[in-house]
Amino acid sequence: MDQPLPIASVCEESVFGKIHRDFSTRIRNFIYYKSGDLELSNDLCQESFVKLWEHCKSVAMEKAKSYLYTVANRLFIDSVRHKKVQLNFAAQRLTEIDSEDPDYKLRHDEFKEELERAISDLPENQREVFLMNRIDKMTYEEMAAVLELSVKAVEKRMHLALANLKNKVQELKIHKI
Amino acid sequence: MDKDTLYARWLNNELSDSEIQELKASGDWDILRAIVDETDTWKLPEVSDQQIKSIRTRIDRLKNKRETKVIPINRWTWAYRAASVAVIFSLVYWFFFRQDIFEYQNLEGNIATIQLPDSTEVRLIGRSRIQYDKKNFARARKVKLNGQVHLAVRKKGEFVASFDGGEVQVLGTQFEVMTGKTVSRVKCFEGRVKVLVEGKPESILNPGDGVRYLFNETSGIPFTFEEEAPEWFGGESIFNNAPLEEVIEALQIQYHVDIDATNIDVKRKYSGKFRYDDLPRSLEMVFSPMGIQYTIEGTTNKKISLQ
Repeated sequence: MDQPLPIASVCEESVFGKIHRDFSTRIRNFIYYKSGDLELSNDLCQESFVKLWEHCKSVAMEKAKSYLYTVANRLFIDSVRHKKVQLNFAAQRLTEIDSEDPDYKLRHDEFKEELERAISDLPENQREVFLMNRIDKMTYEEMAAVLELSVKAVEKRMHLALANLKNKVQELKIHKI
Repeated sequence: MDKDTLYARWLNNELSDSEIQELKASGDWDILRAIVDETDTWKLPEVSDQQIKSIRTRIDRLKNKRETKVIPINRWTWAYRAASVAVIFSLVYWFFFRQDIFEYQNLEGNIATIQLPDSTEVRLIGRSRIQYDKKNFARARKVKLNGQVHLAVRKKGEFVASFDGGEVQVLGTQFEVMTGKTVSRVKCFEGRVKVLVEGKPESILNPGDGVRYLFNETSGIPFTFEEEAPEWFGGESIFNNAPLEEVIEALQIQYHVDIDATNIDVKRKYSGKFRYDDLPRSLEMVFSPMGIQYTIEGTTNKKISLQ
């Protein structure tokens, strides 16, 4: 009645190491999207992997990814649920044209700041889905799998995030760069 | 097509031609485009090599440490019924009818998390316990609770958490049960639950709703709360105008002590908090503001009487 031992186990260091290399940035980002606190996110990311290691016997390899998201979420809840959240990102400018037009750059920077604030003000579940899709480049199917939601639920959250951001931008009339 | 996923599908280029026309005409297209073009340039730094190296040190240390985690300590197979009957019947019974009860007993001064076979997460604080039939769990999700337990139920379908004298039928996902000798309290954090207590009218709870059943009260007392997860996840039990008997029950569960409250008025209301890992301080924080004297009897620090 017992299942045979899996051939590759999370308890094997090479396997665990690969999982860590492949997912630590995403997990760290996931917590950052929720908290806006990079230091906390780095710490909790480490803790999540430590927990995975401690429970390696009871987590199947295919489940490791969603286990990490679940643990990271739980650790986040344990620490700072109600602190005010403000996220910041480094923007990679695709061209340097803006440096020649200070006015353009100013408006562009203002837009970025307002957008960061608007994203930080989104409800947590909308915010994390939006950023996981745009920054981590995760598909709706991937997100559905790791967050244990239906694809439809992910799409709804995504739609709400964009709708809220659109409304905010319209309010502020700052999108006309 | 669904309006509530419109923008999500737009992002994936999954819109119908008519939807695209509509979006462009409304002017929303441009705004959405501007938002996405901007956020697409955003980056976060990769987790550093140093971080990757330091996890190796952590897990090496863990490998050398002796296992001190609390793990399920009691598991038995229930098959002793047919002792006086023929061996054959016992064998038949053994193979087809036995239950396989899983029990996890948590200890005072401890918070533990366990996972049920359906990925439901269960957290226990203090002297609390959960039991369920492993073999039949997939067919019928039923657990028995004692003490102070929070459940985040995964996957739709029936889920029943029973306690002494009552049960919680889960219609949604997250709730907490605190149950002891004279007090039972249920709080719903997410989804919807129905609480049935013997001899008292049922309660349906939505998120933010709670109900307390106190000894000698003919029906449950509803109340509301703000927090989105049990406050004790953060190590502190917080009470807002709660009857003292409920606070005493929480102390008894979390510290595994016996509190004799016969000489005081347990209906008085208490607002305040205490931690789960410091008994003397906790007693101080609860009873001093209420003007109640407490005496710890005996050498085991397990019996407390109130004046």
